Amino acid sequence: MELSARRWLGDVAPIRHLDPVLILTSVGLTIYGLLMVYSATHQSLASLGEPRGFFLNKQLAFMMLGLIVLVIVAIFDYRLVKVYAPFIFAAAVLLLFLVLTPLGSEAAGAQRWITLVGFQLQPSEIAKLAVIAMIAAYLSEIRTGIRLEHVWRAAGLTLIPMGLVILQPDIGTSMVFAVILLALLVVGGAKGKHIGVLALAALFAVVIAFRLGIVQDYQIARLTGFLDPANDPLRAGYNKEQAEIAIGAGGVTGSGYLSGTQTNLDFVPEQHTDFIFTVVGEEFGFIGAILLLSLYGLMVWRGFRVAMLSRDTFGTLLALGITAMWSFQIFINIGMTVGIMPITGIPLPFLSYGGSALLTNFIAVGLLLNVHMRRFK
Amino acid sequence: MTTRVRVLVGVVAFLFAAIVTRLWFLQVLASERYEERARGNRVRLVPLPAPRGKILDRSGQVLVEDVSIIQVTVNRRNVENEEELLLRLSGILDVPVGELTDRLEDPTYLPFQPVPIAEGISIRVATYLKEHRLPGVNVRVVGDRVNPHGALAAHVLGYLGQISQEELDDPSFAAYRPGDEVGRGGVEQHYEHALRGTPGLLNLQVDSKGEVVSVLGRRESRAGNDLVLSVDLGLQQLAEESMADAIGAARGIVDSEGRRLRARGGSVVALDPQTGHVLAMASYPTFDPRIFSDGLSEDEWQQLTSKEANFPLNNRVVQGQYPAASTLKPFVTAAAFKAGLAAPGQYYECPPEFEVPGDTSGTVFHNWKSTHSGHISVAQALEESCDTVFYQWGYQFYRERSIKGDLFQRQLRKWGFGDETDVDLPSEAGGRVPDAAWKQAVHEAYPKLFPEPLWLPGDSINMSIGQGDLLVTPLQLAVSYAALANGGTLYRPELGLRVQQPDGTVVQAIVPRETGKAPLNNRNRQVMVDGLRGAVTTGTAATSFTGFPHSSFPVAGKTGTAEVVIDGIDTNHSWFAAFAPIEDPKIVVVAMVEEGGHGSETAAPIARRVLEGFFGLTPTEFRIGVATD
Repeated sequence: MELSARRWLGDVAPIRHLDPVLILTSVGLTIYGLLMVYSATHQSLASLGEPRGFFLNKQLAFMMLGLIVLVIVAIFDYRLVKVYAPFIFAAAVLLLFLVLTPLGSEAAGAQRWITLVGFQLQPSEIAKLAVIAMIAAYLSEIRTGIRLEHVWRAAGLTLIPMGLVILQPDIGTSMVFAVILLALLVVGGAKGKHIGVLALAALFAVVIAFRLGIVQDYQIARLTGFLDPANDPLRAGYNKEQAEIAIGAGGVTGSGYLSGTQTNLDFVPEQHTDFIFTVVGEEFGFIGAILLLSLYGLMVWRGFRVAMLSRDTFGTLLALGITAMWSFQIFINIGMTVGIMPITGIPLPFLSYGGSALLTNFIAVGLLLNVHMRRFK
Repeated sequence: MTTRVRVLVGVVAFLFAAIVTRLWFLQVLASERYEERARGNRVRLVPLPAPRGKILDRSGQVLVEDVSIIQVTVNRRNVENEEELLLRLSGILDVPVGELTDRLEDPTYLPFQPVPIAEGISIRVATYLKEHRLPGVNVRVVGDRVNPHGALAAHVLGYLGQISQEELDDPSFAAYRPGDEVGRGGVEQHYEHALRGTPGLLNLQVDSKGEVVSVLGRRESRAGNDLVLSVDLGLQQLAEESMADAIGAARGIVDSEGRRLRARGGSVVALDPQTGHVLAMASYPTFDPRIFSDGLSEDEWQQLTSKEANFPLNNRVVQGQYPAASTLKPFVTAAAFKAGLAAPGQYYECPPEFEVPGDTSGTVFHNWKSTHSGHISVAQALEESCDTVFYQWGYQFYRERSIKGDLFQRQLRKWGFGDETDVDLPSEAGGRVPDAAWKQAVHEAYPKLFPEPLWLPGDSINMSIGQGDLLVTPLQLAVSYAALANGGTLYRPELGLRVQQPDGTVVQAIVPRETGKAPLNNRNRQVMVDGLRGAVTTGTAATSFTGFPHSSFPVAGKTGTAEVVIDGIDTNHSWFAAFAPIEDPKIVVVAMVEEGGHGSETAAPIARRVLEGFFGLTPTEFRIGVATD
């Protein structure tokens, strides 16, 4: 009893080492996102005769749920994650597999969701964390120094969920898996030449994928549209063009909240999900964009800090995988809206509308807090 | 491990920096350009058509105006079953299916353009079509140019046609857009910028589907200004009727070779000699400007521009160039006075023939009649149109060329010949006063057609009776006769009287403009006018004016019979030029009928009727006069 009290109230008690910056940043980003989701959707909802706050309210509910999940995830010791990593991983793979079965539901030509007890779930989101946990657990167990066989095994493990995601098809999210693997291998201590071999193998696989026609036409069109938008502005390059116009038109100070013409008149497609940043750009301008990037910067900095402070390798890799995942998604998503990255369906963390993604990100914050709280041996 | 984390931190920092850089470019440096594109995305500018100004006659009667009509269009791209649709429309519009198909297949419309298939439909039919919403069918109100008097004054008015690429490139058409209509021919073209209204603009906000969300602004269109012509509607009608009568009558005339006259064209023009304003202007054959309003078929265009139809689009008053024949004689007389070759009070021999002294080639220049008229005055020479008197003067001009150069030509040019009158109509021809330099030049350019490089006595002699290579337009002749009538002032002939706003406020009064002074003194003028008066009362045109009230409305006039070769046949153009009343001239009339026989036969009776109409007399029935010169 006394021991337990000391454990919870003493100098090294986890509760006294919460990272308030991380919590405030994630909540701040989510609120920023709620504002943007409302702006992007209220007009079209009204014109359809739906309540203007439909998407806002759903996202708000997910934020509340996310905060609860965050607390739960932060409470138990993260080293349990290491223990249960294979089960978590297996469960994620199972869900991804189910997505491809008739249980999965389809939208816009891709099968990405399954419905569980009345909730639509996008397993590829949670699978990202499962992969981080699995690879972090695997690599942290290797005491002898990472050899090529370990690299292969890690890659092989990653490839299972990644392959299932590619089949949905969702090339963007599958790339996140690859980046997570790469970041974990780099920080986990894999030799440079081994990573090089892996990169070559990946390149080879991509070429094969193209040859076998696994990559769909529209995906190629999106990539080439990125290179030459004027070639076909109404189709492949249209999203990119409209995104750039909206952001550019925002100027330094933006048009003001709910006053963006491109946003209100629905010129940017998928604006409340993948293209949410265009609302920031148009309505809050350069200043609003920098504010958002600063919040992300703060978040990523705290992530790296947790990775450095962690008491063990698993904690470091876990924190790093999460940070790499966020960084990559932020860069690719904003990069595509400003026209320096190809169009891929990667959501912007905390901002894009989507329950699974938001919950995943709050779990990730919970894990970071967990590692941070328990950094003392 | 820490080092590797630091490397990752560096990579992430770099990626963030890349995004900030790009944002700096988009939102700070290039923001204006994107704002412009954002505006282009959401703003649609829809032009609001402006009514074109009316064209009115001098008393305000409408000659052309814009009216709104209901048009039915079909856009083939949206039609599901064309056969069925046309069958249905045929019933609704009461137009045969075949006709609808023809209209729909008009090649002047591009495949994605709505094609007008019916115009001027009733409100009831329009409502029916709107209610039944047939796919691809649209009903809209369009402006249409309407001539209440049909083909009347077609050449004067002109018509509307789509703007050409060259015009679009021209800075004076900067406000025009492709597809706009512009005036073609006639005053529609000349006064284009006065008649055209200023289109309005509707500034619409649209969403990504192109649907209108709100109206951002509206600039009303402004109707074009009205153009009041100096033309008198009644006189114009009379001129055109008389022209057509003359053509019909002339075709009944059998010439000395036993051939019927072809009388394939002609023109009449009446001017106010004190201002140069045009009172009537008719050209035959004519055309109906209405056929331009709903798109011209290839066949119709061929018809309007073919030699067989004798080029009905041409306004012969300003574009026709013919030998002036004897109608030139007053001006040759004036030149002879000026050169000292003739003088009032002198008498000249009028033999049946004239030969160049010392010429052994046997070339003989005949008078139009074969009897000797003895010695006659200058006035009598004009009255009888004695060619041989003029031959003598022409020959004198030739002989004096070494000292006086082209004095003959210079004198004729002072009356306006050989140069455009600068009338307010497009495509005016300038006629020709030939001289030695011209003859040399055409010989060098076309040695086979013009084998003779030198100016010969015959050239001056022929020119003295308005033949040879001299060409005039009917309008030039009218301007010269107006100068003779008013005491020597050459006016720029003008159809436009004033430009006014739709409410009648005058924007621009088109004032008479002098373009020159003819060499004419009162004494000489009196001799010439006496001659021309005699021509109408007792001379060459007397039979054409039988019964005309000369005492109330004294007329001075001159016949002309231009000898020409057309399609290898020797034939005559009929000319008549006149002004009246002699003491205070108020009207000049020039009439001409191509292949219409002698001046007194067809042209003079036209002029007579126009004069009668002008003076408020009941025009006599058209009657062919007796052939004279």
